[in-house]
Amino acid sequence: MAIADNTADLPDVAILTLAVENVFRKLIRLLLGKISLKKLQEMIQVIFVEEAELSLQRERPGKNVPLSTLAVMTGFDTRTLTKIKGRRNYMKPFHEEKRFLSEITPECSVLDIWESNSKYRDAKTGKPRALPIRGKFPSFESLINDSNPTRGVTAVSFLQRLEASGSIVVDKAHNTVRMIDKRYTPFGSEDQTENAKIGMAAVGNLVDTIAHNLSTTPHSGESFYQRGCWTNRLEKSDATELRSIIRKFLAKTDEKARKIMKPFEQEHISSDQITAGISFFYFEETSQNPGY
Amino acid sequence: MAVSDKTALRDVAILTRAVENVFRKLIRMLIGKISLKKLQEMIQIIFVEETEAKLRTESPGKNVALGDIALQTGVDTRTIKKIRTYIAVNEPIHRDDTFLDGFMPLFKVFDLWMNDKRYFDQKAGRPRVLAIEGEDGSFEEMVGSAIQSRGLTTRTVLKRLKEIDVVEVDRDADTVMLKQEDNIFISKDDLDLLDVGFTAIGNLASTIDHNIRHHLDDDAKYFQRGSWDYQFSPEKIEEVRKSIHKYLREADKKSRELILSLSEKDGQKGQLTAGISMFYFEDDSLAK
Repeated sequence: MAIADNTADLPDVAILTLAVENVFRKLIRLLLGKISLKKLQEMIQVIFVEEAELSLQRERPGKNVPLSTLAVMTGFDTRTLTKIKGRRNYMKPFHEEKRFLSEITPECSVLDIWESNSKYRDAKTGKPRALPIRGKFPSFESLINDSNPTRGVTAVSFLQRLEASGSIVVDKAHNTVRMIDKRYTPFGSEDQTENAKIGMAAVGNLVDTIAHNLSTTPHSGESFYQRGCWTNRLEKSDATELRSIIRKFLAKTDEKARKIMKPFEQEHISSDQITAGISFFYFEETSQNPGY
Repeated sequence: MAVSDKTALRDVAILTRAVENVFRKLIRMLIGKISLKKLQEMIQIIFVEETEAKLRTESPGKNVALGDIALQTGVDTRTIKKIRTYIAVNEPIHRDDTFLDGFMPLFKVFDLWMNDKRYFDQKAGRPRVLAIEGEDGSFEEMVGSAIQSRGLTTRTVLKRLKEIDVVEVDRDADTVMLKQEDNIFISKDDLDLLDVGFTAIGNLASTIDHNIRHHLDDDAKYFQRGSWDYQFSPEKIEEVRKSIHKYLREADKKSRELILSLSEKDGQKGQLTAGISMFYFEDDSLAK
């Protein structure tokens, strides 16, 4: 659901909530099926506490950050904060933590346990066993219980999803299931993963620009350029034409921008150089016309 | 096409790193403006709403089973039931007073001090000077009504408010006074910047989502590109900024004309929102 709301009557805290909601909704939409809510929450929780602690350390360099001040910043009680700070991944990057990566979605956890747990491996070949779908251990059902002890999730739904993703083959005649590919690709192809990586890097750049602008004095001229122009009144039938015109226009604009930057580029790389650039994008969505 | 374990894990790691990077930067900006507790509550609601919407699109006309949402979210059905009930019963998050009340622990303290007659002198039109400890109308009582969280004492809250220079304590009289009556956690300018900026991030995320879904069809993709260079000298960066900003202002003017040329004069149901966003960025993290 796109958020369309008249914000004129809202208090500041509600405007801020709406802005945060809007950005997280769109990011989450992009991540559905690629990371579970459970893992996303784990990541957010650790990052938030880490960043709050670093921010407090910057305020008072050299001093310990009391848990109670962290509690004020996070809204979490001190016992929970102690637990978060005691995690193995605290102050460490998530993308280097194998456990986090292998459990990034529930399907991923199933494949990981099947492949890595000796209970589900063939002792002779060392490969994941073919399993009966139902029944007591060792079965696909027991594998689901071992890998995802989540109430309400059935073996059948996992079977369907893993079969659709090409990770398993179901032998209906014998009611067994075999793993054929211990893979989890967050996207269907490497090309899509690359697109996501580039896209997220652009989001990161935009967040940096906004953060920079927040740190500067208004109207001081120190802000970085960040602007959008749009219409809420585009006929659906005109969208293809507009996309095509804008693609050409932005391609040209991009080409010219490169020419402007070129003379500033230093011939030799040195460690004090700065990365700088421009990002352009076109966007489209169901109209947010007030009243509709 | 089969993908090796190594490739698959590398892809997950690439995505995780990209996601972690974006969320870290976003969270850095939100520290002190929203509590982790509220952010997690919000994310939970949004995730369930969006999962349900996605599953509904995949199987139109069919009910979305709780088990299917549990499978996508990794959260048990009892919790999902609770979230669904919340969604059904409550106002949207930004209009839900209960949600907004606990947005940031200190927000609520400030809110009570400015709006509750026990702590706000309506005749004088300003917040009362409060006794730090005690029962009726004290700072201690106000903190107690605003925050119920283990480990959060009156002293901790007072210490934090002093650190951010919002209150003044009179040690002789054992009283505390609110120095700053404007919104202490976010200024109007910052709020506007965040509002505009977050809308742009949301638009960019939608464009990326669209392009990933249409990655095989170049014609359907939306334009999204960046031009940058790693080798700018810090001494010349002011000049770089000036040249690029000037150029972007010109480009923005032209893009407005372009968009206006295809925009309808009157607002009608079923129309689309479409536009261009452009921004300049800098990153000195590679510089030592």
